[in-house]
Amino acid sequence: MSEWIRWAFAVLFFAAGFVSIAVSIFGVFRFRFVLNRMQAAAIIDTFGMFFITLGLVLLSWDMNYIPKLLLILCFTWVGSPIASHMVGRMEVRTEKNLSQYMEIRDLTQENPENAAENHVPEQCREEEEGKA
Amino acid sequence: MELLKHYTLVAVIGLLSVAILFGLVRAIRGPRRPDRIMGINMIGSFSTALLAALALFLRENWLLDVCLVYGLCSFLAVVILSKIHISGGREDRDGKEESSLYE
Repeated sequence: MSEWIRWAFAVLFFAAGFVSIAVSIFGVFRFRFVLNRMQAAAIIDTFGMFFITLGLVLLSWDMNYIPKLLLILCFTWVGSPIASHMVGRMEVRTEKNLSQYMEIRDLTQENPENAAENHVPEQCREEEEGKA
Repeated sequence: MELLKHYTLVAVIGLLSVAILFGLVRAIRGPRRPDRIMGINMIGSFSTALLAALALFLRENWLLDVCLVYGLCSFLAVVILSKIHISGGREDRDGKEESSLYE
């Protein structure tokens, strides 16, 4: 009896996982800008992987499999935000016409108090360029 | 009950394969490099889940180790590709010539 209940919950989790993946894929093809698409793609690594791994844990119910499955989930959850951050950073650093897609506020113009604080990254960048 | 589990895993593997195809389409269509790398990231995540399902389907415990290493390699690939693109593209935006990484 408990096996049937486990199977039912596993199927429920798989369904939830595939709904998350479907929403994510829809977003990846629907959005027009890569930072929006990235947001949609991140759902796969969080909700999608969580539900599918949980479904697999319930389906296997074996201590040879469960710790490794949970480790895979942990690695995905640790790695996904870093990968997303890198893709976002890559877009911001390399897109020439970024202001077409979003409003970029120059905080040094709006509030002079921020000028000194915001000047530091610019200096660092100049130094980096000087070294290169 | 075993047969039911078997068919459930077949369905999961089949659906994940279809999802991988969508990731591949995104990676091919682009249009720019960040989109392609994002597509590769998607394919990596789907493949990790697919390998985990395959490990249960074949009752092979070692496939989960493969899955673990694959997930780490996939994450590393995205980070390294982004790093390479950033180091080459920064000078792009400033209107200077491209870095030697692209040559």
